[in-house]
Amino acid sequence: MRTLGAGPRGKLWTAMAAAAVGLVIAANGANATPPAGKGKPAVAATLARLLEEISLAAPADRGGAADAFVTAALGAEMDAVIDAALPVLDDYRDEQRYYALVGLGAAGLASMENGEELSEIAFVLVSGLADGEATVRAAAAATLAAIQPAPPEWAADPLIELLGDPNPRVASAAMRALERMPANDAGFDAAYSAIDGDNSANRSRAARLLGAYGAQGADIKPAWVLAAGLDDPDAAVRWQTATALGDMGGAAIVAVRGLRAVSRDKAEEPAVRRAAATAVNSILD
Amino acid sequence: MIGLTRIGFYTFLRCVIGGRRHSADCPVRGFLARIAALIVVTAPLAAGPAQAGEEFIDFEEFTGPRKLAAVEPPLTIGNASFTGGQIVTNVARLRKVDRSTVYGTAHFCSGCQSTITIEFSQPVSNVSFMLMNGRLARPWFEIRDDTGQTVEFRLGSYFGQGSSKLITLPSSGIKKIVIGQTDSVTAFWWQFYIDNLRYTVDEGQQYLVNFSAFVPHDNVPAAPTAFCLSKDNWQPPGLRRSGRSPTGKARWARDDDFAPGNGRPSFRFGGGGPDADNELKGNRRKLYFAGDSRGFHPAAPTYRVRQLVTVIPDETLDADGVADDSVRNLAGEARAYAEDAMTDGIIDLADEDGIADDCSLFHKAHLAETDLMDVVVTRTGPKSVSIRFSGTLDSPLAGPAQVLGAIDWEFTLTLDSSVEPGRWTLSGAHDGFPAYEIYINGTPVYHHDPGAPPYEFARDVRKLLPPLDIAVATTSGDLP
Repeated sequence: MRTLGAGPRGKLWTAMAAAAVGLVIAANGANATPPAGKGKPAVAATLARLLEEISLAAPADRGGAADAFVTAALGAEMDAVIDAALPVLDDYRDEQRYYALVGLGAAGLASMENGEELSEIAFVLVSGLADGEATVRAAAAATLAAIQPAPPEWAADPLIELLGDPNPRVASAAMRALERMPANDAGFDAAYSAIDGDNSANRSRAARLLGAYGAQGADIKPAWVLAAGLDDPDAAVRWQTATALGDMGGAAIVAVRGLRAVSRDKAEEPAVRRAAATAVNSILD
Repeated sequence: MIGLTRIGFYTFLRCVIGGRRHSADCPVRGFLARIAALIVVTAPLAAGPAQAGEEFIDFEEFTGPRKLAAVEPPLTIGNASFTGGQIVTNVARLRKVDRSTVYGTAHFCSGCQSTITIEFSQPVSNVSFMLMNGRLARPWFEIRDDTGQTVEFRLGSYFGQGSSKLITLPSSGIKKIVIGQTDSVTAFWWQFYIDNLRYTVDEGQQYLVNFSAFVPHDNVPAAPTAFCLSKDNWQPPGLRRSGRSPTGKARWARDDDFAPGNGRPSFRFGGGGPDADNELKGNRRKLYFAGDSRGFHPAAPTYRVRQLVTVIPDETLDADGVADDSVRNLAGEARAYAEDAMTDGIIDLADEDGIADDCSLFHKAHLAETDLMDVVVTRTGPKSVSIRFSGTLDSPLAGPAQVLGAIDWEFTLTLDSSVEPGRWTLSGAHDGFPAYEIYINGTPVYHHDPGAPPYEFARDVRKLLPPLDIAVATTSGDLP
């Protein structure tokens, strides 16, 4: 993801990152098992210090400082990362808010337990969706997406608002978070609206969202809508549409005829034909 | 015009570019010959001032046997050199499309290769040629050039419709073309021919710049939180895949030799811990993604991301310095496989079960969004341009937070032809994973190797997270 306020790391900060990771591992144990009691505050304090260093370091060293923090967060337990990051989420410095979210997202990626704990601060992450800095909004949406087993359904509306964000990275991150949610009416409406739009990237994202939601239920409306997308002028949208129909499995049985036609169309892009053939197999499996 | 309609478009092409050998098929050959001459005369003018001139090769100065027999040494005609096949004349299987002298290869030809390679001593553009299938089957063909351009299509049986095709390659700065079949029987049966090669030799003022990011190994583990849920309970530890059922599903057999840590990938989800056994008993399977399985190469057919642009530093030839419609932002298809695909330690064709979302073998395909990739060309002087390659490509390797774990890069490459020889200068930054490469007209400018496989999330893939890991110090060199 595009960095904020930090260039590539230097040698000094690579060494600092290694030291920080060593400290985190020492506190958490070699396999990142739960620390015994007093290790947590130490880890949180280390993470907080590393996070602050990103802003304090000279511009040439910020990349290394950021890498040290993200590396440490990746190996830490979520409660320690939350303790370090939560106070910074309303910091006046963009890079502090951004890296606090990145640290939370990194920790959320590292283990299922961390991802589940991330749900405890979902409300804070949702408030980050309204941040004035686009990179921070994107990071907030991406971190929301890291919540296990899924982001809370009540976060759907603010995420849907971001689908119209002028920064495409923000819209993309919001769509990724939405597609991890349980199927919801607001998400369906947003997808149905976007799939008829002029922007091919948004049509592609909408097709993916419909595929994810359609896979959760037996409703065939998404399949009908997606089937129409097999004629989209953009090959990437056709590829995404065929793949989304395959994701829906048996619920997309109505689209099998269209998919077969695409898979046999000699004028079609080979990748789209392959996607259509795979989708037919998946639907009929 | 009426005459052209009556004889058909392909007959027209044969008459125009096929030379005298097609004269019997050309009802208005005098008229067509004049048109052909007009095309030849005007083509260099229409193609733009950056092109020196057009060359045309129809092999008519040679006469070969009627059937392919044995491979010939490389055949050089003009700037082009042909390898892998043999010159033949009046081939029986081409009687419907081309009875003249052609260059071909076949499986029964001793020493012939399954591909025909054309190499040019100077970069060329506007390449076109006729490709003809000599097989009864309808094979898929792939044509690759060293600029990264790939054309894939299917030809009909030699006795039916569509057995030949006029191929055009839009790239410029081409120095090598490889023509071959892509279907699975290529290793055993192939027979195809080429004729009527036409190209324009570049004067050298055009530069095709090619940036790619790719995964050198065959597989990459995704983040620990990227998994699929199997529809059925899968094997306990101690079983391994031993084959496939008639429906293509994996079969399992006991293997007491198998144990995590013995060199094969571990089945334990999340790297162990008290809950690992419980998760193993559940239906959660870790995901791996197929890599590109390749080294550094400008014409490699696979990549995670690729950006192409043709620039013209000389302002007198092109005002803005970028060839029209030459900017391309491409994303490769990412294919995820369930953990059972890795029981043999490799992702290969055997793992392609053709069924998505079943959490077994091939599981899911992913196509990244290319709307966050940019190629910006800026003229910096009368004979210099600056190209900024940048982008962020969401990576499914990062699991649910793939926007955080995107492939990120930003390079600035300056080409200056005001000095002799011309110079390029590169600077930039990118993530530490995967591999990155930049070429100018097929000549390497920058390579980054992510390190030796096997890759691990904690050591390698995590480098996709912010910030950018690698600063590319300013380097420069002579333009090719």
